[in-house]
Amino acid sequence: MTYEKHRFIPEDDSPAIRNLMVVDDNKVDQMIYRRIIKRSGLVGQVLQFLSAEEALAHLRQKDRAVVDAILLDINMPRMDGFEFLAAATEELGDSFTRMLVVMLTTSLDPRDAARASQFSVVKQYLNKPLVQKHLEQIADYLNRTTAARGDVSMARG
Amino acid sequence: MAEHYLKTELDHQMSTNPEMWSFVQQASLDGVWYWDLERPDQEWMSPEFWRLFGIDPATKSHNPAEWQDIVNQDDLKIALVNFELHCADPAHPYDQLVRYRHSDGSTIWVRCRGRAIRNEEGKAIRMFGVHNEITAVRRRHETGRELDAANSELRDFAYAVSHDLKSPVNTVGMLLGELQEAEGEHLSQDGQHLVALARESIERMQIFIEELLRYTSIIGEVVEFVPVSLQSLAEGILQELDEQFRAANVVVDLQPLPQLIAHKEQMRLLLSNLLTNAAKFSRAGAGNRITLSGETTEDNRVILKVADQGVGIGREDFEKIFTIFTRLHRSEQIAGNGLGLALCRRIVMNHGGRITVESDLGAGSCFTVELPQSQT
Repeated sequence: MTYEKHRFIPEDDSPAIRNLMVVDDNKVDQMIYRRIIKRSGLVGQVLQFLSAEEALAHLRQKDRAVVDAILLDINMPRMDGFEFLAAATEELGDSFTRMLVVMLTTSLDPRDAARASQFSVVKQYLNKPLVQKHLEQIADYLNRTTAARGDVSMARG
Repeated sequence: MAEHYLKTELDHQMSTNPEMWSFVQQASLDGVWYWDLERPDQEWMSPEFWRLFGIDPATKSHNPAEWQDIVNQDDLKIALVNFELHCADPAHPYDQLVRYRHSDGSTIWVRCRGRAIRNEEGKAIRMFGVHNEITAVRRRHETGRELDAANSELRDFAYAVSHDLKSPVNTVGMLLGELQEAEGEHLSQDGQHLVALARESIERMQIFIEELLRYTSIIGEVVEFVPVSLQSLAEGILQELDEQFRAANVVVDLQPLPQLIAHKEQMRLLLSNLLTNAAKFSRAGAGNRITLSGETTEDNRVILKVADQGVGIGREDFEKIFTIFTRLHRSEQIAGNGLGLALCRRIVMNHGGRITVESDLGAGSCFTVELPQSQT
């Protein structure tokens, strides 16, 4: 299994996005994502996969760390983004990541929208190119859901 | 309840006045046949039936073998099965589409219906039938299907091309962004200027591809016609464009607009394109009022007018502005890609309407859209 792993912020400093996965078959795009992600100061660690199969293999591992968010490209050779979503959801349920963002090359095609909306794990769409703002939105979402979970446990207590 | 007296009278007319039957035959039927089931080689065919296929009725002898000879053999099998079933059970209809071969080799589609006349024991002894020729309807249906297939192929092609074009454009855009972000301070002023220009060009290209995609996505789109209030559409669009218009000092005078039956999203695109187009060509320092007005005519057509006080268009360019990719200005002067009005025209065409322009150079333009109030 090949992927690149980069740590930008120590786990102890509680980064807004602890563990981010990016799945995109374009090497140059991946390189730029890494730079943007690093510069954002929001991401602790990033795992970058050049194929959906490799990303799926990683998610199958029992002892892996919790994935906070996955940025997923749709148009990839062999297994595309939708096939990845279908396979991951079927094998691992909805909890293989806390959230998933579909990255679109062109604005949303109605047919793609219909397909993507079938997966409850898809929380957002972003139009490429990736920019700082997108990462801030992901951090916001994670922060909100963490707060909500905190409320629940307090209510139980 | 007693029957209406006219119905009683009409029934009487039909059974006593032969002219009534021949009127019905000529006005609504393309052929009539009457078959003696006790002497099955005897079937009277009306002369109109033979003329459908370019055949002289005088050459025919009222033998069913004659029509069975030029009918499509698969269709004949179905007709004969229906015939058997109808003779056995009156509730089973004798009604089917059959293809005949015209003397020029072409195919003629005929709907053939009939009913058996039975004796006291219920045995079918005669069969009376009628023909309706529907070749034109079938052809339209087939052409429509071919057109749908061609359009959907074109849409898929455009989608694939725009997608494949957009990927590298996005990548270059991001690379330039990174260059500016990471190395900007090491670049000379000239270098920074060049990178900024490159980013602008890339952004234009990104917008262009998006709009191209939008343009092709409405080609032969399966349109769902619903009641649309142009008034509330226009209000929504003006709210969205408010900031942009305010910045450009553009004032929109929105007059009451009618309702119509149309494709809602396409109507939204049409209004929004006409308005942004009018705003784009406003003149610096001049009155920047856009008037959007509409009315419904007595013959149920909706007329929509978008009038501006902008730079205007020369008469020789009236047709050009609606042509895809055609621009009258360089993009540094006025942003655009030659798709906006082409999109408008395609939307109007999709609705069976037309769009025209009147204009005076330097005084403003007025675009007039004419649409049927409802779609059939």
